Amino acid sequence: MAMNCSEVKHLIHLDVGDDLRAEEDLQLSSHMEQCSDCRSYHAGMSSAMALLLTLRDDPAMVVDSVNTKSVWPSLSREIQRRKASPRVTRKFNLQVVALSVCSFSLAVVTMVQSLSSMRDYRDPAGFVPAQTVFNQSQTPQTKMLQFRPGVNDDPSAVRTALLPHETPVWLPQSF
Amino acid sequence: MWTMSESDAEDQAIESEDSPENGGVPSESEVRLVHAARNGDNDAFGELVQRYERRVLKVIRRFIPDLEMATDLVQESFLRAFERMDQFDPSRRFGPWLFRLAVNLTYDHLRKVRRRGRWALFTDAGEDRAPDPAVSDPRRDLDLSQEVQVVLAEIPEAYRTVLILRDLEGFCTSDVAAVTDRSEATIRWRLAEARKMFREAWERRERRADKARLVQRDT
Ligand SMILES: [Zn+2]
Repeated sequence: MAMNCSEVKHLIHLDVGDDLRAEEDLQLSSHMEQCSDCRSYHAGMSSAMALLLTLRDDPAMVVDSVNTKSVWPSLSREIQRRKASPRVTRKFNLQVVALSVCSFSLAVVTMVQSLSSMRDYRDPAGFVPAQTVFNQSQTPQTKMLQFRPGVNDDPSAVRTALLPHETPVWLPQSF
Repeated sequence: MWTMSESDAEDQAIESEDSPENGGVPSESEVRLVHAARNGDNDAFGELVQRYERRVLKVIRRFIPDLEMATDLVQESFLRAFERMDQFDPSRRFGPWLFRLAVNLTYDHLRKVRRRGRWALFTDAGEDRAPDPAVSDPRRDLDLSQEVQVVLAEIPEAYRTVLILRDLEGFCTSDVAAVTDRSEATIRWRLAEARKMFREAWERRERRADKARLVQRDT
């Protein structure tokens, strides 16, 4: 199968580092015989590769065996130290979290319940009908329901505001 | 496109300095040492360290030239290997696995340095950065390998790593694949691209240097 120049260039990039397989090598050679562009590209790639390879034996990178000590002595001490006092593995304690979540939700539920029972006794608008006297047979709760504005709007009822220190007369003793 | 099923038999493999190359199979002595090290034999692990440490140091210094820092990373790599010996598959060669730990730790370190640099109020200007011969004082005589080093640093990390491991450190492509956790086909493709990138970067630098010389001659 004939290859185009861009496919051949891929082979050239591999060829300059001796990374071609036998069949690829054949394909490359047969294309280059006929293509001067690819021949000159190959020459340029070879020079670039030769430049790169100057780093291979760069004296700055050569590890001097005399001056470079082995890491084993200090590594071995570190391993011994870790064996002697194994690192405390810190495990995430789910129980603590579960317990906290439970108590928090319990607290929230209790708060909501007590708030709603408070609302049952207190007119949210702070008003109570002035001329309402409930008879003894009625429980404060049933009376409350009757006096709630919107629930039992009696147009004849005159509402006066309660001052903060005043207690509605119909409140139960225990409140 | 390119089928890459065969392994490169003539390639150099990742082996310790004194052990012979033997393709994808670990040497007998290495199997023994690894087995003993996995069973808690510190001396056996010490021998593995001494077999590989210089090559690991050389690879790390391709990314982090500072000898002290690179040595610390070598030690850290072996410490990690020691801690994870039970995860190592003893039917495989120790080298690629070890180099993978070392390269990953090196990447982590470089990332940390970059992050620190980004958030630091003051940065050490010029430190850890190779000199730029095309734009710096042309009277300063930089040797060729320094210039090549600068060009190499321009190549994106994933490609540069392949170039370093294959062309500078002589790993075979299947070992580069094992170290970088990529398929061999990917590595061959990256290798070709990386060499092309290097050539293009070098040519750009040459053009810039030519232009700078012309400007200097005219003034
Ligand atoms: Zn062509």
